[in-house]
Amino acid sequence: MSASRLFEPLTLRGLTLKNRVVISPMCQYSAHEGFVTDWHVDHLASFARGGAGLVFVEATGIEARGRITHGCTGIWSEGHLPGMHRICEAIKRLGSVPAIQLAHAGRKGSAQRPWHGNDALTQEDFARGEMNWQTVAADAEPIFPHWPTPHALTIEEIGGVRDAFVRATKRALEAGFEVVEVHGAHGYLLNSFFSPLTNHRDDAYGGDAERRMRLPLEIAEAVRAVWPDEKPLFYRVSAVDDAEGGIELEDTVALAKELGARGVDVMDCSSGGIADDETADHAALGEGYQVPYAARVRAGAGIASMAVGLIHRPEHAEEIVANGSADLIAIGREALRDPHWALHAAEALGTDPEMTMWPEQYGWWLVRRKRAEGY
Amino acid sequence: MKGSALFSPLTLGSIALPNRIVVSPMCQYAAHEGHVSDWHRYHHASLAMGGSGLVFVEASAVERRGRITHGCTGLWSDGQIEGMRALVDIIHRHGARAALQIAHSGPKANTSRPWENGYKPLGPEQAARGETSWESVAPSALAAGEGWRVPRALTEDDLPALLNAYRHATRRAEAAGFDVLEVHGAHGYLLHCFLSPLANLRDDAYGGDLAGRMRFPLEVVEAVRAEWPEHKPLFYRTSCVDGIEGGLTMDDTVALAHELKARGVAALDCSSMGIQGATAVSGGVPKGEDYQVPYAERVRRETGLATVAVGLIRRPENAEEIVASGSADLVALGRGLLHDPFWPRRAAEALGVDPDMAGWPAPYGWWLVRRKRAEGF
Repeated sequence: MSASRLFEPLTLRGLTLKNRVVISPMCQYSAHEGFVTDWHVDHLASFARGGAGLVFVEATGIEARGRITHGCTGIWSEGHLPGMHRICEAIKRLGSVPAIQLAHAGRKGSAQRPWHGNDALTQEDFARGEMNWQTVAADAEPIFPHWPTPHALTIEEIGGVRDAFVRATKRALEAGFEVVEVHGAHGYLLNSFFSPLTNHRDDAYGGDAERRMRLPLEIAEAVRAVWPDEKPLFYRVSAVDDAEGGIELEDTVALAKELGARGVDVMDCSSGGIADDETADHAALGEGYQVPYAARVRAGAGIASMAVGLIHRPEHAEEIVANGSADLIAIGREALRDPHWALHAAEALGTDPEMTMWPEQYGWWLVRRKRAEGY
Repeated sequence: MKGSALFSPLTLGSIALPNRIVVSPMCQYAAHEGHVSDWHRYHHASLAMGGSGLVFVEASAVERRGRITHGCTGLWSDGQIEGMRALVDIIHRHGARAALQIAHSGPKANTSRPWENGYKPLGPEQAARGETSWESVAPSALAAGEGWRVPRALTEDDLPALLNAYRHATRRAEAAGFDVLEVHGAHGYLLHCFLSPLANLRDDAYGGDLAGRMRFPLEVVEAVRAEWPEHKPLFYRTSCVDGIEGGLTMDDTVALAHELKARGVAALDCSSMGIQGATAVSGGVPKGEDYQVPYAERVRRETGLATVAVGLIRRPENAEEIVASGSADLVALGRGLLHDPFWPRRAAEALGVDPDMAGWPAPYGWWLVRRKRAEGF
């Protein structure tokens, strides 16, 4: 086996991942009232068989109004547990580790599924029975003028959100997840508190950087308190808002230090989304455009980082880990295109010449075909 | 969408296939007492999500002794229907049609799983954990290879019960909801042994000349066809050549194809070899890219029977050419799809079919087409 950093195990607290390939949380908009469907099980099982070390379940609402769309998954009730348990079992059965991203959409909730328009809900959605709900945020400002206005959370209500994160974390544990990630990026609730662009509060949760950080830190602390010590906690951040007057990289380094001090193990470094759609129709961003954020957060805050965003070539992923930019590589859309991406990457990097990383049902045949036919 | 033969639909009986790509039946050795497991469910889900038009469930035994290994699936009891129905539902849910291959291993029963013992016959190690060998049956008492248990030669009195096993398995396949059924007549298993002069030394009505050797396979096809709904297609997999001196040749296969066609078989799935030796495709013909396609081409040309080409097909352009040139109606991939279950989607991309990725499931395609437009990959 040629030495590969991408396929080196990584131990985080009591959990050892077999390699550095992570399947990024990706919304499927295929749930009903937060309940996962067969689609999710099949979708996630493919990645687990495909060799990734960690497989994330998509952004999952910690309360019903914290969903992005009517199709988002949820973990706000006990009833959601059997479906989540099924997913954990499938991922483990196929040799990987299940993780879940706990999310609150904030003012970006009550939205359409991307293929229904990727905008605020319209009459067409209402006709399907998909009505608007009252969203909440740091401020009572919609993301776009034609979107419903969110309700600015009161101090008391903020406590309720924190409690919902705690209950969701307990359920994630019960369902069998090994990793929890708090979603603090892409303009959703925690991002909206952190960013000066969307937080004009003058109470304990707004104003200077310390107060804007308060809710993210309280939630990280509360989640950490109920998430077992031996299990890792991740935090996804929009490392930069990519907007005038918004969060800059050094703000994120400061946040990462505070999160690290509260027991967050990995900073998952994305960007953008505070005032627009994060990843939909846009000009070219470029391969690995967010990697420098992961590198800076890792070096500046002394915390493990995960690089994500337009990483698709195995050699590139290998290089990111090898040069110390990140500890983990999250693969998103490329895994939708190729659920066996990790196995294919190991092949491309010469890491698995005997195809022993493959399930025996597949590898036994494939290695013999390769020896005989050269492919 | 650019014209592509590979991505053109095909209707067989009442079953409309969205394209010509078939997931070949591939043993997973992951069943217990013939019952499918979670492994099969996830395996078939990915294959169906990948865009193949027809997804086969592996060789499934019509009776318990007709398994190859202790890990093979079966349809010899009603209790096995439910697991199969779950596979059909999974395959349908992702937009493909579901097929089942029914099989009897004959003298190749009692094999260890390939990764346990390299496909050798069951030994003491397997017996120690309860996987003991069982009596195998064949047209003649000839072992499949050195070191193998010698099968008992079937008497004429045994044959009606075997036909019944095929009938019952067919009925169960229908109950499970499969769209297509295939009778496995290749790779040195029971029906192939009847057909090949190398394995059939009988001097009764089921041996001797080609007509005698064909007799039992054709009786099986008649029995299955009578039980299988008329509007659903029946396939037959054959080893077109034995690749060994004195074995089956293409002339024999063309003759067989005529008889199968007359009995309502809709397509001949054209594999080869395996009559002697442990592995399914052992024999003297050199293998290489699409090496079995000429068999499918000749059967189709000379008999007008639809054919399935299979074996070492992996380049999209090659698959396209096989269908476009009329060598075969369907192209089956096996290992290529284990390696990459999304091969059909990648093939569509390579062939310039579906530039807008409209054929992808919405949660995937919506993102991927936008990435492609913006980033060029």
